Amino acid sequence: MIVFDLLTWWYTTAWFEVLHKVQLRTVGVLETFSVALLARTLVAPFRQIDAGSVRGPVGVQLRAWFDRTFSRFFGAVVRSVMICCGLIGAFVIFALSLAWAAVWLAIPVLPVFGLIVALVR
Amino acid sequence: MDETLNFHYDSQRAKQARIGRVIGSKSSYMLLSLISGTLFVGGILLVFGIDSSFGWFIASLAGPVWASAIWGRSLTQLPPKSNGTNLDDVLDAYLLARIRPNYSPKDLMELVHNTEGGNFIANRFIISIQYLKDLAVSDSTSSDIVWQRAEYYRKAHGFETINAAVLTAALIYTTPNIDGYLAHVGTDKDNVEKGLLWFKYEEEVIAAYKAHRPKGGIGRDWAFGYIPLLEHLGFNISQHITYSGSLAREIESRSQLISHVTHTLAQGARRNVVLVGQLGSGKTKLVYNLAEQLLEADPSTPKSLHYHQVIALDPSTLMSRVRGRGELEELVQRICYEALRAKNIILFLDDAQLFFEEGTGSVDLSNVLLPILDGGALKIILAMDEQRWTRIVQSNPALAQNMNRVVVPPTNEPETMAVMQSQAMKLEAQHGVVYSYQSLEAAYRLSSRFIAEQVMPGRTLKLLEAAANFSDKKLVTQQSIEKAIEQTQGVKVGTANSVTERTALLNLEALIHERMINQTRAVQVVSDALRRARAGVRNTNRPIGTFLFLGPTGVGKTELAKSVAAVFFGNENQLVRLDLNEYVRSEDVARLIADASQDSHSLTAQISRQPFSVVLLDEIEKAHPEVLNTLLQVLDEGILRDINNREVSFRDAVIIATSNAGADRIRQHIEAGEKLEQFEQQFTDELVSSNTFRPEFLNRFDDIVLFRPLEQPELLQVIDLIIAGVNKTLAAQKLSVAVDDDAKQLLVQAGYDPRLGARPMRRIVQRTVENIVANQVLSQQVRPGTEVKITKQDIEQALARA
Repeated sequence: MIVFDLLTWWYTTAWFEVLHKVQLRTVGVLETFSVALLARTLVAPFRQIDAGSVRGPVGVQLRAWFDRTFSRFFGAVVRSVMICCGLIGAFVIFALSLAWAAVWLAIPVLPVFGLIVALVR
Repeated sequence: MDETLNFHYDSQRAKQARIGRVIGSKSSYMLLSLISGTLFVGGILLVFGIDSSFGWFIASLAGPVWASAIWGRSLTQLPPKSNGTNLDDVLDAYLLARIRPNYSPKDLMELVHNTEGGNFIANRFIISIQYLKDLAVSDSTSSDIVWQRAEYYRKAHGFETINAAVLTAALIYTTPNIDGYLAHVGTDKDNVEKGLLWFKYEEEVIAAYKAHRPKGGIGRDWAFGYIPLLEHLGFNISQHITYSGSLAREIESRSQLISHVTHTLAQGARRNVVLVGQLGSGKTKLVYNLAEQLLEADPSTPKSLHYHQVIALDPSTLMSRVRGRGELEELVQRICYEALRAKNIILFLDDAQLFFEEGTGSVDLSNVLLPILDGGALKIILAMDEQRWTRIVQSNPALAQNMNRVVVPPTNEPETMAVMQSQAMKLEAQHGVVYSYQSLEAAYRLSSRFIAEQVMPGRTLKLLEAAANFSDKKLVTQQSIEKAIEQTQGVKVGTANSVTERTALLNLEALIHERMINQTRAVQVVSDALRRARAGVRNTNRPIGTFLFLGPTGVGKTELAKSVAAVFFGNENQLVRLDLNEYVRSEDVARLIADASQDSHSLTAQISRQPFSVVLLDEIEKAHPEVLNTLLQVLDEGILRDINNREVSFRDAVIIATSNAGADRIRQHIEAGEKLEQFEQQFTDELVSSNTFRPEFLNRFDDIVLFRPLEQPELLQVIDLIIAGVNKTLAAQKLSVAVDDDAKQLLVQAGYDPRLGARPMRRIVQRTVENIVANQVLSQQVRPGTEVKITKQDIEQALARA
């Protein structure tokens, strides 16, 4: 009865919790790298450098436009790099967590596999 | 409520809880984990050490052993069964694992003893579980009623399970004859129930602390500008909260205010707010809570404000970094521009009047700030109290037009209790003390009465913090709060506890008579009022006592007031004296209730500083009727509103009004051989019919006390008191004076004037006794350690000289 209760818990409540943790960890990595936030502000001027509007002759305005565009471009590059790092990190964590969720399923019945391996070898 | 809860001892949840008790304890978990590790390592060693394939089987056994360890731990935290109707469905796993079907309330009391929840209730309410165990019923059939009460508490207060705290509260509620014990420790059943909400709050704080709280991540601020100036000169509230948290407890009215502020900052043309509220109403705390919500990207806050940072500025820091006004204005402009450019900054100017008025520590920056506020682009929050806001708006009407005003009202009692409970955690950690529930209640009650300069919840938190220094074995009790308020406000709030004080109160008449002669009836009525006050049986919504003393001059009216101040309040200086012959015009009312900053000697200012006093209103018959009308409220409710409409409490004062009105009539009655009691009522009626006092005014006094003129034998005792006073003065020079009896008789005869009572006695002693001693001291006829003897002849000579 105890074994049955343990296995029931292991393959229902506990496994769902493990799966839920896969989601939490993945989202946690995405949040740590601010992926959603960076994607939303991908082309915003980086740290608002040269972001303000400038009044003056056409030459000055043109230069300000180039500065602003460069700030946006630089911001987009930096953010893209960070988004990539975040996505890769999230994928790695997701894959590892998922692998752990798969291993989880085998843990209580490991002696069966252990016995087979012991007998076969 | 009357629904009986069935307990199935053999239900699956109950069995699992019991298994969890065996294999889920920390020691079992460690042991199983150790076995699991040993099996795994041992098996691997067998495989790779001696090439035994059996090792794989040994290593694989680690799996189920470790699974058992994890399962065991989870069983100690068994969730309740959804929609469960039985006791075993909703009972906390710890209790479920230990309970037996035939448990009596006494057994249950034993069970909750030393549990976290049981200790919480015991410590917070200063209740002895051991004592409760003695009171509890041993009959197991009585447990049904306990469980019904526990289930009621669980549902009423939103607990998931019946935990040890809920069960303890239910046990307390259902224990027979418990009310007396609870009253003894200063609480009742309702309060114990309210204590459950405190327990729940602490559980939620711990859960929130463990929970993941996103703060935006690495790139949070990349779309926002750098803020080097603000980082250098401002205080970043958001950053502070990131590290320390705010321990904010959700209060409905405050949540609505925060929501209003965030929507104002997010939308509209003028993205600014001025928080207007009295000192202590929680304006700054509101901003801290707002900063926390923005930092956590709370879904209830507008998205455009997510991850915004709140930075506080104070003028003294800014002034310390510049050399002149021009530089300061330039600096403020640069700061505002930086905040505007960064796009994620909300500036917070606490005590904002310091930025709009010239003075020590403040500077008027209106000409810089008004155009910025007028522009409406910069998100800014100002905080100041109502009076200062009104004053600043009067001189700067444009400010009112540019700002969105949000009033922060004081919290009510339940809200204040909730705030205190949330802040108690912080204060407990800081001071290493534990606050009892009774101490919180006392803090609320006493701070309402005695701390006038702030409102709730600020004043009660101030008192709570002060009380930490008066803890008893690290426990802050109701008595700690009383001591704190007595020390900080100079008042007496508890009932008389010490033997010395009780003896003094029981012998008040004798103590007062050490200072004044006769007037036994007056002394008695005043003494009775003071005893009622210190025994805690008086009406606390009125002054301790209100008396009208009537009688000729020099009979001891003022002396009795001074004696009360000295004997009851501990110092003759605890006397606030107003000569009402200086309040003869209707305009003088303003002087009576003037603000302390304008007139520190006004009645309201003096009582604000010194609420535990004798208020002596001398010559009350001479006051203007408007002045008397103003004083009616004081006599009736013990409250007077000052010129700023702030309540000043007179509920811890003894109010004594004196009057010479009808002094001749008193003398006539006495000379006709009547006793005071015989003509008291007639005399009062005469005062009303002669329009000296209005009946509604006389009716406001607890007692109207007639003082009778002093006769020669009594004046002889007055002489003794005066000479005792002279001796007290001379004691510093190691001298004393002794006056012969016939010399004293002569002094009385020389100074006696039936209209002036004892008043001439002091003068006559000065002119005779004191002059004689002074001459002898100067001519070195007396040396330290000697006694100056004064005879009748000496007095005669002195009188002849005078």
